[in-house]
Amino acid sequence: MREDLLIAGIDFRRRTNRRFACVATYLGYILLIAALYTAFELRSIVWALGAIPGLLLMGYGWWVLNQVAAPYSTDQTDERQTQVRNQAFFRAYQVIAGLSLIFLFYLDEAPQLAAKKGWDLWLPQPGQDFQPIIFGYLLVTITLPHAFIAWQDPDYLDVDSPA
Amino acid sequence: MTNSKVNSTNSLFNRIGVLRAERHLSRQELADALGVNYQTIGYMERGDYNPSLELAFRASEFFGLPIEAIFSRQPFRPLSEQLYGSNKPTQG
Repeated sequence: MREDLLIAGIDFRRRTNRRFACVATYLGYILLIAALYTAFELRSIVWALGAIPGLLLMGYGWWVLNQVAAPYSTDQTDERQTQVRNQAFFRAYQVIAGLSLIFLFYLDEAPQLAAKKGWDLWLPQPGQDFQPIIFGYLLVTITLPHAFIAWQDPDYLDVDSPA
Repeated sequence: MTNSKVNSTNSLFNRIGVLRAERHLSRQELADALGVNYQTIGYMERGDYNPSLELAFRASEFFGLPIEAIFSRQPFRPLSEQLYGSNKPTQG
């Protein structure tokens, strides 16, 4: 009955709650980065403390996604689970490849556009900007297939009873 | 419970739920017999999953019934109607 998905009083057998976990993972990361950037810009340690809720939110969401996808990550999957896992990895690949191409295209084109049109376009600076980008890329790469599974699987309550 | 619809574009109906209930089997017992996860039995009963041909044959062998008695592309008529539907008492 997936009792392992009753985590801290929240029933992640329900799809709605699993979707909240997906959003929490990425929202937590955005909060974390926003707090660290603000702290860096304002030279304020108080803002750096603001990164803690983001870190906790991201960590909790990440852990929930891992728990949800655990049965799909073993060698003991049956044909339906294998199909769900393959679909999730395929969709994740499409999203990650698409985002990577858009980002690389932007990196290539932005300086030229800025020079030609005089636009003030953001360009990532080595060190300061690339670290969050690389860590975000890592986070998405690792969690997105699990997030797709958690997002699309129906409520487990009515189909999950072994009785 | 008799009919399970997979989805609107690729409909497959099955009698897994009825057959399982007739034989007093739990989802776990049927899943063990067919070599799948018990959740997959639930998904099949609810019509959220189309089994592979191999799994359909395994179900057929397990229940001792032809495949067309378990799976169909058309909705199944209730078993009672199939058995007794043509023997309606005549009036007068």
